[in-house]
Amino acid sequence: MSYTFIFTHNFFYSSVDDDDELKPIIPISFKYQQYEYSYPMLIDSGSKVSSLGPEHAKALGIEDITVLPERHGFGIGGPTRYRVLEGVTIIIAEKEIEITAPIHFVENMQGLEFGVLGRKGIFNVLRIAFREHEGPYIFMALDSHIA
Amino acid sequence: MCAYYGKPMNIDFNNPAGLETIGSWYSAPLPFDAKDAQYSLEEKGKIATKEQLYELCKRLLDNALAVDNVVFSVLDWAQTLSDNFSKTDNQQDREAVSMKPKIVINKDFEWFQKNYSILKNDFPNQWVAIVEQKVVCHGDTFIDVLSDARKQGYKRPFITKVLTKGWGQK
Repeated sequence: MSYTFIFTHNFFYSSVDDDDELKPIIPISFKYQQYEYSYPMLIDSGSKVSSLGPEHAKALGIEDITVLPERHGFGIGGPTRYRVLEGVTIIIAEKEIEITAPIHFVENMQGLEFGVLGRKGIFNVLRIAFREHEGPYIFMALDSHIA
Repeated sequence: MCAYYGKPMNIDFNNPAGLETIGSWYSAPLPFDAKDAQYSLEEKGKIATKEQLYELCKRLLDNALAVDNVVFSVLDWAQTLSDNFSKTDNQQDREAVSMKPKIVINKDFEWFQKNYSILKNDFPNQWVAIVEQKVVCHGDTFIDVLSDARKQGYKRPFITKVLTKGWGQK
């Protein structure tokens, strides 16, 4: 392409906390083979990759999570173990953006009611900004020539 | 390649049959003046030139901003169009194709947030599967609820937990 074609999206923050704390949570759809579902994800530029609890492996058709490679890491909660699934389709904004990225199933996130949308495969193709001076918006732009 | 409701389609913008396909996309009732565009397609039978198609595309882009699901197809269409467009076109024309910011709303997530106080009473600390702005099943674990929703034939349910203390609080 001879020029960059950009489209943008605004998302509302989640505001279901009792204390009205706003979290940048958006619904994201996951697809792996024939398995699909949508789940709330916290946008977190400080996270290296996108992460979910280990129970999500089964949700994506991995009956035995131990077949996935195990890794060890360190996060805010301290040391943790996780399993890696490559090639998960991440669908954002009602199918407008589809990205293939790895998902980490993190032991410490068992039962957590949201996942984490991290950098790998996401932040390198999406421009993501929080524009709180304009309102509770998350601004996303995808350069089509990158995608 | 264009996509409409997830269905990929190859469109040749120089081929009237391709343009008729686009016209059929917009035969669905839409709450904006895509009807005008549809009328144009029907009236003219086909778009004779790229310039005419470009005008139609700009009109759709201007009006599609408030409509969920349609925008992706329009964007993809506009992108393909811009690829096909002559390199001699001036920058002003090209900028006209670019999008204004659009608020994207997931209707199930929005419904969940709006009805959170009711759901808290009905399904305290339970997982729920939401499809088309209603709870289709609920239970104590994420995987049970997802499995139940799939058994009911829902391909992509939105699964979440109705916490009574707020998200992230145990």
